[in-house]
Amino acid sequence: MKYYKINPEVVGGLGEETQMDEKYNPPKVQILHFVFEGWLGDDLVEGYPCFLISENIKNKIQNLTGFRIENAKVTPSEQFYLVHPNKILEKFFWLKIHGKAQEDDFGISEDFYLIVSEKALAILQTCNLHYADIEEVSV
Amino acid sequence: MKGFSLENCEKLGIKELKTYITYKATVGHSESTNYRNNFFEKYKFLITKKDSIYVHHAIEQSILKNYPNRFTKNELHSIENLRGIPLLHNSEIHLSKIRKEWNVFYKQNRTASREELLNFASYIDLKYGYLFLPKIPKTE
Repeated sequence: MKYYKINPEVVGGLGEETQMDEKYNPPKVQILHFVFEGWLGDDLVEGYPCFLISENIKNKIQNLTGFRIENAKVTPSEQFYLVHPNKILEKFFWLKIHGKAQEDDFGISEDFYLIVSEKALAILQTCNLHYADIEEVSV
Repeated sequence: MKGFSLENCEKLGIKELKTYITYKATVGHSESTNYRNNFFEKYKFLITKKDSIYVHHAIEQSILKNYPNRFTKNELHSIENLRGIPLLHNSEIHLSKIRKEWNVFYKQNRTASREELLNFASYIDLKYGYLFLPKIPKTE
Protein backbone atom coordinates (compact mmCIF):
# COMPACT_ATOMS: atom_id res chain seq x y z
CA MET A 1 0.00 0.00 0.00
CA LYS A 2 1.28 3.46 -0.89
CA TYR A 3 1.03 6.39 1.50
CA TYR A 4 1.07 10.11 0.81
CA LYS A 5 2.04 13.20 2.79
CA ILE A 6 -0.50 15.98 2.36
CA ASN A 7 0.13 19.63 3.12
CA PRO A 8 -3.41 21.03 2.80
CA GLU A 9 -4.53 24.56 2.03
CA VAL A 10 -3.91 26.65 5.16
CA VAL A 11 -6.93 28.86 5.74
CA GLY A 12 -6.48 30.34 9.20
CA GLY A 13 -5.91 29.29 12.76
CA LEU A 14 -7.10 28.90 16.29
CA GLY A 15 -9.66 31.38 17.56
CA GLU A 16 -9.98 32.88 21.02
CA GLU A 17 -12.52 30.32 22.24
CA THR A 18 -10.23 27.35 21.60
CA GLN A 19 -9.37 25.35 24.69
CA MET A 20 -6.25 23.23 24.62
CA ASP A 21 -3.53 21.63 26.65
CA GLU A 22 -0.14 23.00 25.62
CA LYS A 23 1.78 20.38 27.58
CA TYR A 24 1.49 18.12 24.57
CA ASN A 25 3.36 18.50 21.30
CA PRO A 26 1.44 19.28 19.14
CA PRO A 27 -0.93 20.86 21.66
CA LYS A 28 -3.98 18.78 22.49
CA VAL A 29 -7.04 20.79 21.46
CA GLN A 30 -10.14 20.02 23.51
CA ILE A 31 -12.58 22.60 22.16
CA LEU A 32 -11.90 24.02 18.72
CA HIS A 33 -12.77 27.52 17.61
CA PHE A 34 -11.31 27.92 14.14
CA VAL A 35 -11.07 31.25 12.32
CA PHE A 36 -10.98 31.26 8.51
CA GLU A 37 -8.79 34.12 7.29
CA GLY A 38 -9.29 33.13 3.67
CA TRP A 39 -10.36 30.12 1.64
CA LEU A 40 -9.45 29.19 -1.90
CA GLY A 41 -12.08 26.45 -1.87
CA ASP A 42 -10.45 23.16 -0.84
CA ASP A 43 -12.51 20.59 1.07
CA LEU A 44 -9.60 19.58 3.31
CA VAL A 45 -7.93 22.50 5.07
CA GLU A 46 -5.50 23.07 7.90
CA GLY A 47 -4.51 25.62 10.51
CA TYR A 48 -1.93 24.31 12.94
CA PRO A 49 -2.53 22.06 14.83
CA CYS A 50 -5.96 21.14 13.40
CA PHE A 51 -7.43 19.76 10.19
CA LEU A 52 -10.93 20.46 8.97
CA ILE A 53 -13.08 18.88 6.27
CA SER A 54 -16.18 19.90 4.39
CA GLU A 55 -19.43 17.95 4.49
CA ASN A 56 -18.53 16.62 1.05
CA ILE A 57 -15.46 14.79 2.40
CA LYS A 58 -17.19 13.86 5.66
CA ASN A 59 -19.79 11.85 3.76
CA LYS A 60 -17.19 9.98 1.73
CA ILE A 61 -14.67 8.83 4.34
CA GLN A 62 -16.91 7.15 6.90
CA ASN A 63 -15.46 3.69 6.21
CA LEU A 64 -11.81 4.72 6.52
CA THR A 65 -9.66 4.45 9.65
CA GLY A 66 -7.54 6.67 11.89
CA PHE A 67 -9.81 9.62 12.61
CA ARG A 68 -12.87 10.92 14.40
CA ILE A 69 -15.09 13.72 13.19
CA GLU A 70 -16.24 16.34 15.66
CA ASN A 71 -18.00 19.66 15.52
CA ALA A 72 -16.05 22.86 15.85
CA LYS A 73 -16.98 26.48 16.04
CA VAL A 74 -15.93 27.85 12.65
CA THR A 75 -16.08 31.58 12.03
CA PRO A 76 -14.86 33.86 9.24
CA SER A 77 -12.32 36.50 10.25
CA GLU A 78 -13.22 40.20 10.18
CA GLN A 79 -11.61 40.48 6.75
CA PHE A 80 -12.78 37.19 5.21
CA TYR A 81 -15.57 38.79 3.20
CA LEU A 82 -13.28 41.62 2.13
CA VAL A 83 -11.19 39.03 0.29
CA HIS A 84 -14.16 36.87 -0.76
CA PRO A 85 -17.18 39.17 -1.08
CA ASN A 86 -19.25 36.56 -2.90
CA LYS A 87 -18.08 33.39 -1.22
CA ILE A 88 -20.25 31.42 1.17
CA LEU A 89 -18.19 29.72 3.86
CA GLU A 90 -19.40 26.13 3.94
CA LYS A 91 -19.89 24.08 7.06
CA PHE A 92 -16.60 22.51 8.14
CA PHE A 93 -15.97 19.70 10.60
CA TRP A 94 -12.98 18.98 12.77
CA LEU A 95 -10.99 15.98 11.51
CA LYS A 96 -9.34 14.63 14.67
CA ILE A 97 -6.63 12.23 13.64
CA HIS A 98 -5.50 9.50 15.98
CA GLY A 99 -4.29 6.95 13.43
CA LYS A 100 -0.77 5.72 12.96
CA ALA A 101 1.04 7.04 9.89
CA GLN A 102 1.51 4.39 7.20
CA GLU A 103 -0.82 1.95 8.97
CA ASP A 104 -4.20 3.68 9.13
CA ASP A 105 -5.92 5.54 6.30
CA PHE A 106 -5.29 8.80 8.17
CA GLY A 107 -2.27 9.28 10.42
CA ILE A 108 0.14 11.93 11.64
CA SER A 109 3.85 11.59 11.01
CA GLU A 110 6.47 12.28 13.67
CA ASP A 111 7.03 15.70 12.17
CA PHE A 112 3.28 16.44 12.38
CA TYR A 113 2.32 16.02 8.73
CA LEU A 114 -0.89 14.37 7.58
CA ILE A 115 -0.22 10.97 6.03
CA VAL A 116 -3.00 9.24 4.11
CA SER A 117 -3.34 5.89 2.41
CA GLU A 118 -3.68 5.49 -1.32
CA LYS A 119 -7.33 4.60 -0.76
CA ALA A 120 -7.95 7.76 1.28
CA LEU A 121 -6.15 9.94 -1.26
CA ALA A 122 -8.27 8.54 -4.08
CA ILE A 123 -11.40 9.59 -2.18
CA LEU A 124 -10.00 13.02 -1.25
CA GLN A 125 -9.14 13.64 -4.87
CA THR A 126 -12.79 13.28 -5.86
CA CYS A 127 -13.30 16.48 -3.81
CA ASN A 128 -11.64 19.90 -4.10
CA LEU A 129 -7.96 19.48 -3.27
CA HIS A 130 -6.39 22.00 -5.63
CA TYR A 131 -4.14 23.82 -3.16
CA ALA A 132 -2.74 20.87 -1.23
CA ASP A 133 0.85 19.74 -1.76
CA ILE A 134 0.92 15.97 -2.09
CA GLU A 135 3.93 13.69 -2.19
CA GLU A 136 4.41 9.97 -1.90
CA VAL A 137 6.00 8.82 1.32
CA SER A 138 8.98 6.57 0.82
CA VAL A 139 8.99 3.51 3.05
CA MET B 1 31.33 35.45 2.32
CA LYS B 2 34.99 36.57 2.04
CA GLY B 3 35.57 40.32 2.01
CA PHE B 4 31.89 40.99 2.51
CA SER B 5 30.64 43.49 5.07
CA LEU B 6 27.70 45.82 5.48
CA GLU B 7 30.07 48.78 5.19
CA ASN B 8 31.29 47.45 1.88
CA CYS B 9 27.72 47.29 0.62
CA GLU B 10 27.33 50.99 1.28
CA LYS B 11 30.69 51.84 -0.29
CA LEU B 12 29.69 49.90 -3.34
CA GLY B 13 26.39 51.78 -3.44
CA ILE B 14 24.34 48.70 -2.74
CA LYS B 15 22.16 50.38 -0.16
CA GLU B 16 19.21 48.11 -0.84
CA LEU B 17 21.27 45.02 -0.11
CA LYS B 18 22.36 46.52 3.19
CA THR B 19 18.72 47.19 4.04
CA TYR B 20 17.86 43.60 3.26
CA ILE B 21 20.63 42.21 5.40
CA THR B 22 19.84 44.39 8.40
CA TYR B 23 16.04 44.23 8.13
CA LYS B 24 14.29 42.95 11.24
CA ALA B 25 10.55 42.66 11.83
CA THR B 26 9.40 44.18 15.12
CA VAL B 27 6.25 44.80 17.08
CA GLY B 28 5.22 47.95 18.92
CA HIS B 29 2.36 48.64 21.27
CA SER B 30 -1.13 49.77 20.37
CA GLU B 31 -3.84 50.91 22.77
CA SER B 32 -6.46 50.02 20.19
CA THR B 33 -7.08 46.49 18.96
CA ASN B 34 -8.90 47.86 15.89
CA TYR B 35 -5.99 46.99 13.65
CA ARG B 36 -7.52 48.21 10.40
CA ASN B 37 -7.98 51.64 11.96
CA ASN B 38 -4.43 51.51 13.31
CA PHE B 39 -3.12 50.74 9.83
CA PHE B 40 -5.08 53.42 7.95
CA GLU B 41 -4.39 56.05 10.60
CA LYS B 42 -0.69 55.53 10.02
CA TYR B 43 -0.91 55.23 6.24
CA LYS B 44 -3.49 57.91 5.55
CA PHE B 45 -2.55 58.04 1.88
CA LEU B 46 -4.04 54.56 1.49
CA ILE B 47 -7.39 55.35 3.07
CA THR B 48 -9.12 55.94 -0.25
CA LYS B 49 -8.21 52.36 -1.18
CA LYS B 50 -9.32 50.99 2.19
CA ASP B 51 -11.84 48.51 0.76
CA SER B 52 -9.28 46.96 -1.51
CA ILE B 53 -6.51 46.47 1.04
CA TYR B 54 -6.22 43.47 3.32
CA VAL B 55 -4.41 44.20 6.59
CA HIS B 56 -2.20 41.26 7.39
CA HIS B 57 -0.53 40.50 10.73
CA ALA B 58 3.18 39.73 10.25
CA ILE B 59 3.11 37.77 13.52
CA GLU B 60 -0.18 35.94 13.08
CA GLN B 61 -2.98 36.32 15.61
CA SER B 62 -3.17 32.55 16.20
CA ILE B 63 0.25 32.84 17.90
CA LEU B 64 -1.56 34.11 20.98
CA LYS B 65 -3.02 30.61 21.30
CA ASN B 66 -0.22 28.52 19.78
CA TYR B 67 2.67 30.28 21.53
CA PRO B 68 1.25 31.79 24.72
CA ASN B 69 3.21 34.47 26.58
CA ARG B 70 5.41 35.44 23.62
CA PHE B 71 3.32 38.41 22.46
CA THR B 72 0.34 40.43 23.66
CA LYS B 73 -2.73 41.31 21.64
CA ASN B 74 -1.70 44.99 21.81
CA GLU B 75 1.66 44.15 20.25
CA LEU B 76 0.10 42.12 17.43
CA HIS B 77 -2.28 44.94 16.52
CA SER B 78 0.46 47.56 16.59
CA ILE B 79 1.37 49.31 13.36
CA GLU B 80 4.82 47.69 13.36
CA ASN B 81 3.17 44.29 12.94
CA LEU B 82 0.67 45.24 10.22
CA ARG B 83 1.14 44.85 6.47
CA GLY B 84 -1.19 46.07 3.76
CA ILE B 85 -1.84 43.69 0.88
CA PRO B 86 -3.71 45.06 -2.12
CA LEU B 87 -6.59 42.81 -3.10
CA LEU B 88 -5.81 41.80 -6.65
CA HIS B 89 -6.86 38.68 -8.51
CA ASN B 90 -3.99 36.65 -7.04
CA SER B 91 -3.67 38.19 -3.56
CA GLU B 92 -5.43 35.30 -1.83
CA ILE B 93 -2.92 32.93 -3.43
CA HIS B 94 -0.09 34.94 -1.86
CA LEU B 95 -1.83 35.10 1.52
CA SER B 96 -2.38 31.35 1.35
CA LYS B 97 1.33 30.79 0.63
CA ILE B 98 2.31 32.94 3.60
CA ARG B 99 -0.06 31.00 5.87
CA LYS B 100 1.35 27.71 4.58
CA GLU B 101 4.93 28.82 5.32
CA TRP B 102 3.96 29.77 8.87
CA ASN B 103 2.18 26.45 9.31
CA VAL B 104 5.35 24.55 8.44
CA PHE B 105 7.32 26.78 10.81
CA TYR B 106 4.90 25.97 13.66
CA LYS B 107 5.31 22.24 13.03
CA GLN B 108 9.06 22.46 13.05
CA ASN B 109 9.49 24.95 15.89
CA ARG B 110 7.13 24.04 18.69
CA THR B 111 9.05 25.89 21.35
CA ALA B 112 10.03 28.94 19.28
CA SER B 113 10.93 31.99 21.30
CA ARG B 114 9.66 35.51 20.67
CA GLU B 115 12.95 36.24 18.91
CA GLU B 116 12.67 33.19 16.66
CA LEU B 117 9.09 34.09 15.73
CA LEU B 118 10.22 37.62 14.83
CA ASN B 119 13.08 36.18 12.79
CA PHE B 120 10.64 34.09 10.78
CA ALA B 121 8.38 37.13 10.31
CA SER B 122 11.47 38.95 8.94
CA TYR B 123 12.05 36.12 6.48
CA ILE B 124 8.42 36.30 5.29
CA ASP B 125 8.66 40.09 4.97
CA LEU B 126 11.79 39.82 2.86
CA LYS B 127 10.25 37.13 0.66
CA TYR B 128 6.82 38.69 0.12
CA GLY B 129 7.44 42.34 1.08
CA TYR B 130 7.43 43.44 -2.56
CA LEU B 131 3.68 42.69 -2.55
CA PHE B 132 2.92 44.85 0.48
CA LEU B 133 1.68 48.41 0.69
CA PRO B 134 3.90 50.14 1.64
CA LYS B 135 6.60 47.80 0.39
CA ILE B 136 8.86 46.10 2.92
CA PRO B 137 11.66 46.63 3.64
CA LYS B 138 11.73 50.33 3.03
CA THR B 139 14.95 51.15 1.22
CA GLU B 140 15.21 54.81 2.17
